[in-house]
Formats: sequence, C-alpha cells, structure tokens
Amino acid sequence: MENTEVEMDKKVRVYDAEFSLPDMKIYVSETKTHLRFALEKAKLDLKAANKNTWLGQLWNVMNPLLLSLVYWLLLVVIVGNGGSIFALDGVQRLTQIVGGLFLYRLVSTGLMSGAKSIISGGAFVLNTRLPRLILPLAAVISSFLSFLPSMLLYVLFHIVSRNPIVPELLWTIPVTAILLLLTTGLAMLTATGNVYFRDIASFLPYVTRIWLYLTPILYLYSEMPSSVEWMIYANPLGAIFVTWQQVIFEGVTPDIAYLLTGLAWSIGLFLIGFFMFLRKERDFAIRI
Amino acid sequence: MQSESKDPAIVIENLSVTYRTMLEKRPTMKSALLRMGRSKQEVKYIEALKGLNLTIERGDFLGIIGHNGAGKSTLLRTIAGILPPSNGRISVYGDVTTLLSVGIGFNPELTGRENIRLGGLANGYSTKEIISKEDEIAEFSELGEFIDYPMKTYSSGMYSRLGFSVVTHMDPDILLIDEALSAGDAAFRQKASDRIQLMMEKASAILLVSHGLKTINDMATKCLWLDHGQMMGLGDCDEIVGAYTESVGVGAANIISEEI
Repeated sequence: MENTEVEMDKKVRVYDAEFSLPDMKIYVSETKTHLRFALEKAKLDLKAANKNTWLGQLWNVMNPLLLSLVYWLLLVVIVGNGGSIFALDGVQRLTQIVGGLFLYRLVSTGLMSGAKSIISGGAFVLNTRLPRLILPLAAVISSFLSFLPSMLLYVLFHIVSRNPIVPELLWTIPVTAILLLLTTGLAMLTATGNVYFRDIASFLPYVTRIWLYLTPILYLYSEMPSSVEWMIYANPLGAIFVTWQQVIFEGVTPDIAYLLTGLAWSIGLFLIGFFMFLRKERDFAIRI
Repeated sequence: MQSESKDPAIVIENLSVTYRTMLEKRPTMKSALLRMGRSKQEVKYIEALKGLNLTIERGDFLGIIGHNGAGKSTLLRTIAGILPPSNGRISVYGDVTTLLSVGIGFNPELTGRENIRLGGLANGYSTKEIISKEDEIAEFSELGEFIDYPMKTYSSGMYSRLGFSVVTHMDPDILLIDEALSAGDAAFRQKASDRIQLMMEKASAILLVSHGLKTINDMATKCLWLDHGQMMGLGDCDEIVGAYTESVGVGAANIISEEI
C-alpha cells in the first residue's frame, strides 16, 4: 500500500491499490516514534476514566481488590473450602486470589480495552496518519500502568501471609513480560476482529470470566486433578499462571517446561495478532 | 510563496476510491451468520472518487469545491494516506498534516492543555517540541484559563478554536484543511485566515476544502470542482467558482457573499 523512498532528500510516499505488507523497518520505526503518544494516551485515559470518582486513580487498585474479596468470600465462607477466615491458611488463600487476579486483570483489561481501541479511537483513525498499531498498544500500556501499583498492594498481602521472600521472586519480571507479549497479541487480534464484528466487545466479558475459571488463579495448579492437567498446556494462559504461582507462592524457579509453553503461546499469539492487524489495518478507515 | 518552483508536491493518477458499505449500520456476527445461508450480499458500493488525475505543484494553494458528498473529504483523506485507493495511485512529496474535522480525537474529559499534548504527539512531534509550542497554541486559541479546564466545559466555538490552533502550529510541507476556517467568531476567523497565509509561506502546498466560496476565491491560487467523484473543472478560481455557482443555480452574488 505504501512505499516510502528517499529521493533527492525528499520523502516520497506512494499509495496505490495493491495490497502488500508494509516495509517492516519503516513500519516499526514509525510505530516507535509514536510510542510516546501511546504512553501519554494510556496515562491520560486512566486519569480520565476515574476523574469523577472520589477515590480517583485508586479505583485501578480497588477494583481487583474488591473482586478478590468477593471470590474469597465465595470460596472460604460459602463453599467452605480453603481454610478459616481468621487463620493463616485463610489469609494465604486470599493472598493467592489477590496475586492471581491482579495479574489476570492485566490480561482481561488489556484485552477488553484493546478490542475497543480502534473503534473508540475512530477520530484518530479517520483524521491522522497515526500508525493504527499504536491504539491497541496504548490499551495494553494503560492496563500495565494500573497493574504496577496493584503489585505494590500485593506485597503487603505477601508479607502478612508469610509467603517466601527469596531472590527467585525476580522471576516475576520475565513471567510478566511473557504475559504482556501475549496480551498485546490478543489485543491486536480482538481490535481487528471488533472492527468487523462489533459483537466481539460485548462477548469478551463472558470470555474473560470463563477463561478466569479455566486458569489456575482461584485455585492452585497443584490442586488440579491430574486428569485435567492437559488443560494447563492447552490454555494459552495456563502455563504462565502456573509459573506465576510457583514463583510467588512457592518461591522457586519455575519449571522450564511451563515457562517454555507459556513463551510459545505468547510468541505464537503475538505473531498471529501482529500479522492479522497488518493485513487488515488498511481497511479500518473504511469500516469504522 | 515559492510559486516559481514547479516541482510536483502531489501527483494523483487515475485515482478511484470505493467504499464498501454494509447495509446494516453496525456489522455484527448475527447478520453475518444470517447471511451465510443465502447468497444475497447486503453490501453497497459507493464510488466516492472516479478516475481522478491531478498534479499539485509546490507553491499551489488549491481550493476544492463541490456539493456535499462530492468526494472532497475523501480526496484529502486519500492524500493523507488514511484511506486506501481502490484504483490508481498517489505520490506525495513531503510530510502531510491534516486539519480534517476540527478537534480530532479530543477527549472531553481531559483539559485543553492535555489534548494539545496528545494532538502533537499523534502528529509525530516529540514531547520537547510540543512543550515549546504549548503556550503559543494556548495563547492563539484565546481560551484564557479554560486551557486548564476539561474540554467538556468548552463551548463549540472554543472547541474548534483549539482544534484549529493545534494543527496550524505544526510545520508540515503539505497542509490539508477541511472546513476548518469556520472556527470561532468573526474576529477569530480573520486571525485564522491570517494564520493560514503565514503557513502558506512555509508550506509547499495547501489544499483547502470549503463551502465558503468567498474564502476560496480570496485565498486559493487554483480551484478544483468535484461533482459525484469526478472532476468538473480545474484552474482559475474566478472561472471555476463562477461555473460552480451557475450549475447550482443560485444567484452568484448570493453564494459568494455567504460566509463560511
């Protein structure tokens, strides 16, 4: 679609009807120069979203915290599984839910706001040459920016429930990075899909809810019956959340098999999302 | 204006743009599923531009006129690289800034100043460059203390004044303006048109879409008349504007005096 050549020190852009994947070098560098915009948009979106509430930005932490309490009450009080509210095992169960849900929110909000990013950024798509990829990226960055402070809160839970404090905790960084890659891939995929089928954004809340139950978050991977162990590998999020539990609750180096499975899912979904997006982004301005 | 140089700024060859519009307003999965059984395609093709050939030289100020839906905005968006051509090709020599609908992508929850920053970054400027221009933009827009209030508190005039100020403080080679001069009251309009003249000295080409025929006649060096996606005339503005007003069938004096 677009070729940029340097000719007589002048930039020439050529647009024609032929579809071709853009020159990767130029595409990546144009996206890079607009990353500053993505970061600023992500920050301002977060700010704007909670502007009229009394707690403001604190809601980015309050939301997953309250949700954790709801699931904890469900498990411990109603089902009566997972210890006593006032004993250490009950607190540990809460810590486990908080730790998992905070990380899961990184995926679910990234996915949800990513899906809507092209449609809600319609003004940018129709009126500027902003690389379209920036919009789902901004959604993922925004989700990451609200994840960071929630991890500070998690540290409190971690200490109170006497979970191990060991150098192995540094594994949280590569595990989060793998999950971010996967989230970015999914955000690009759903952003593209939602331009064609606006239902996707409406379906997603149910998809993320079911996905939450299928992933070791509310329960430990070690509590899963061995008959469903295959689900850890078949679920793109499964292995990543197992490594997360191994690192923060057991304080050990995660199993290499799980780590590689998670990485493989991430790279795969990122590449699929990226090329789907590139293949279709030319149509966005027409379809919005 | 460097009217002596005759390098091309934009070369348009046999350009057609076709929108493929679904008859349903919102494409949903349900309608796609319902369609699967039948061969009936509920798709409508709209030819916004049909085989347009045009060269815009450096130093040109091209005014584009035509009825609603003539393809004027489509032409600007295609030159900006926003809409893909369905046929033909466009070569653009230089950086393009678009002043399409005023107030692009402004978030009403954010302040004017925050939106200035977003608008600048979206156009590829660095944070440093934007901060250096921020006060100038704020001052030009005459918003006073409102610049630090959320934009949802703005009147529509204030909104479009800010939009105009943001884009006209970028330094593009090629400037595309779509119906933007209607920003604000009479005093601001005068200031806006002065600003465009000033930009013209720096920019290598300007394309202006407007229904304000007087503005077009006063400012543009060349005029293009589009009708249903086809070129009806190109050349001297007096001639083209005259022919257009005649075809519309309204008294020429009537239309010329109509302000934008």
